[in-house]
Amino acid sequence: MAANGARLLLRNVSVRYGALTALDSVSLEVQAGEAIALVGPSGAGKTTLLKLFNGAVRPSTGEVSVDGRILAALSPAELQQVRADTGFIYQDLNLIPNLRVIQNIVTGRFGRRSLFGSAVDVLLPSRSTARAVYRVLEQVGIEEKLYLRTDMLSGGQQQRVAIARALYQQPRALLCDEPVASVDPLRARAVLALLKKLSEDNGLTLCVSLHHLELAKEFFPRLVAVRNGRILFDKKPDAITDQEYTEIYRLTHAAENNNGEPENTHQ
Amino acid sequence: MDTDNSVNLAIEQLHRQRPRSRFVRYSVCLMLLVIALSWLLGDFFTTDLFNGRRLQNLQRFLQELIPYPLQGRAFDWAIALDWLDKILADRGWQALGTTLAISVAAIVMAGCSSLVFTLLAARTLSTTEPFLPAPLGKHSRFKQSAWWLVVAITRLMLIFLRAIPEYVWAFLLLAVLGISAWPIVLALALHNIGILGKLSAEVVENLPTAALASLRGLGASRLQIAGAAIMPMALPRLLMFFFYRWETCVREATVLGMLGFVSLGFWIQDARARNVYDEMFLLIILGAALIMGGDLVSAIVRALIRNNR
Amino acid sequence: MIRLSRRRWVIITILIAGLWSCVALDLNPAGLAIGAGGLGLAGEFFTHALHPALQYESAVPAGTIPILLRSLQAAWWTLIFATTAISLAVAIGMLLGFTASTAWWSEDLTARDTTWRRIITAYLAPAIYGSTRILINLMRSIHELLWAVLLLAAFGIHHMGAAIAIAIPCGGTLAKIFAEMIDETPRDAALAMRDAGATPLQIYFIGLLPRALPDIAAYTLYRFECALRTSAVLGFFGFPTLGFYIAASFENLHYAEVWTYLYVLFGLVALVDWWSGKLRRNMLLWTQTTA
Repeated sequence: MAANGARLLLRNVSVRYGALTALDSVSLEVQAGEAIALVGPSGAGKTTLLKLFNGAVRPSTGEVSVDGRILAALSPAELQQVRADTGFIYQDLNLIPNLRVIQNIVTGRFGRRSLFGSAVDVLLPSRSTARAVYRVLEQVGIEEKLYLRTDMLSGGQQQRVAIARALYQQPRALLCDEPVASVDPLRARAVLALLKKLSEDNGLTLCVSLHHLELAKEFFPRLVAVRNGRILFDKKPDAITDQEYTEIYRLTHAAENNNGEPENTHQ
Repeated sequence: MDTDNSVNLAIEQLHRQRPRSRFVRYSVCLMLLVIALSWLLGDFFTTDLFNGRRLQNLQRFLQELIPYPLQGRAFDWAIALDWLDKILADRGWQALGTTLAISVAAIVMAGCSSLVFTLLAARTLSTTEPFLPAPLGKHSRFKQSAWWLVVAITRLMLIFLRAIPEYVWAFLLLAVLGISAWPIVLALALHNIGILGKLSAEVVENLPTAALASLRGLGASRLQIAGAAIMPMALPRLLMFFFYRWETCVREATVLGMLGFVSLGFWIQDARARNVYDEMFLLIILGAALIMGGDLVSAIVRALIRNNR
Repeated sequence: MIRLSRRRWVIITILIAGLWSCVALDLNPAGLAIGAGGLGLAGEFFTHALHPALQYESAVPAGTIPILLRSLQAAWWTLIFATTAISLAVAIGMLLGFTASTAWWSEDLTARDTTWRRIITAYLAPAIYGSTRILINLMRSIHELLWAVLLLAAFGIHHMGAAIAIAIPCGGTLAKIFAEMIDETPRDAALAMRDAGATPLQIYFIGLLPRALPDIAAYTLYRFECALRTSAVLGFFGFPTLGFYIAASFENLHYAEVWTYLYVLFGLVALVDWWSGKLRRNMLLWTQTTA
């Protein structure tokens, strides 16, 4: 099945926003059908790295390629194709709250649909469209929510809708930005297991950014740690040294604690 | 395929059970029906819409929009400006000033008097125990129904005031009170009391109640609460509404003169009656400029208020 | 400190402006009492509010329909002009609202970087945007009745003219509000669509428009109420709406009849007001009333 997945490659990529350097000369190769976790504190550059692969962020220097095709050299139509082939699951889900679940999911395939076709999909979906959406929802386990209004679902169900939308896109790679950032540990495991299973079933390349090192170790055969826009290490979970482990652990947890409290607590 | 069929059945079932609002559905159908009936029964497509006479009329009308001294000759700035200057000096400036004054007088009058109705129409204040979730102690049925009646009558009156258009109020009041600025200003004010009263009552009802309730708990009277807490809290929103309604007052003031009080609308009507279409058109454009200016001033002031919350 | 004083300045300015206007218009309380008919006439007119006419106040030719029926007929015509106008205005509003918004050409919603796209975003779209804004402002800032005057002078009396006269300023206002509402719609879902390869038009019509639709519908309903009132006023220009009968009865000094028509107008507006309020609440919460 792995033949279906996309091979993702970064070669000496830097991304700068004005004076700020988000990524600094990063090289990374993800094989077709491989599953990797990007770990590191928030603000390390994980999101930027993910967005390079679907062309939402353009490198300042270096090259990004998908299946050996360098994105910068592609024509707009070819780039559109790459985008349509890449499913992205956002941290904030980015769903349209007042539309029904089915209407949100069909937007996933708009990269391959005409304006008229997409309007039909939203207003009067054909039987085959409805079936395809239903089957995708079956994969994430909420097929009975097909016709509900999206904002009436729970947070976890909405996340499944977002995953289903990316799947409906029939992508070759699935990029997930912090899918379990605001989720309790039990549900976080369920979501990661689901993502793993979906990518294995469909032979997709999977890149997930996480800041829970334990979860990453549990689910992914390869961990890429990012810090300050650079890759700290890129290893199998059992090859990570204790020192590296404590280093990244300290960083992610420091970041987490800083989110919750101001730096100078007067105790 | 068999599985396709079972999925189809499941989808149909879900589709049938999907949540939807009957009321919205029927309303949309009713709306479409009324729209269709309106187009069919409104005599909009009589054959003489574009007959020869109408087209000739249109052509003549368009020619007469050109300033009279310029008709039939090459354009000349000096002549055009002379024509413009004469109309402006004769009545244009004066009409603009009067129209502006009408709108200001009306909105100030409406703004001040709507405050009273706002307090009476706000359900959180016009009750036996303002701002408290449950009545403290016992209140007679009579007292409760009296307050209920106050709110109901005020609200009904506000609806009536805003249901009758400014122009109709002005027409009636002009005949009843005689020709002066009063009927025009009152007409505009009456309609806007209806609108401002409703909008402001909603603002007062939506104020956070904790502070107001504690004031009441300290024994403050309704008027004291209104003056000390409600007004300062609600003021920014009320001012926004005030300026938003002032824009519409300027708009309406440009036409109310058509009923006979000397202002912009009066001269437009006058030019129309004399078939002096070039002048009529100029005055209409002047009115448009006044409205745009009013919109601009109002937008600036509202931005000032908003940024200083 | 600054906050307080600035707000106070606004209020002081308002009061000074109010005083100036009263002086300029010669508004003194005494002037209110000295009119053509004086307070007597006003009293007579307003006392009729308590007993509106259920029958004509003077003899009418045989075969004239009863006044209540006639007032309903006038209300129906008022509704006809208003609905026709609002449907035209929505069409105008959707069209100009599209060209007056920035969402369909804004750079962050544009994924394809073609030469055409660049020409559109750099030159064509701003030009269309700018000219639409000017057009919308012109449409809006000429009052409905003045549009009616212009159209009457140009075409003579015709029902279409009345509908168009209401539809032009109303359509301009709707266009402005639609454009603003769509531009201010949260863009998160729109960006997701862009990343999945959707075109700006798909994003505009499916990512942004449906999300703004409840607000758009609510505002259109409010404008419909305004159109209803203007439609009634157009009766003063000879169209068969309620204003026509109000003017006619008033000029014949049939004050009780005037109040009948006023109450019918009130009933019509109140009915639409009630219905649109209920519709608005239902649109926001449609899942709760499960059918």
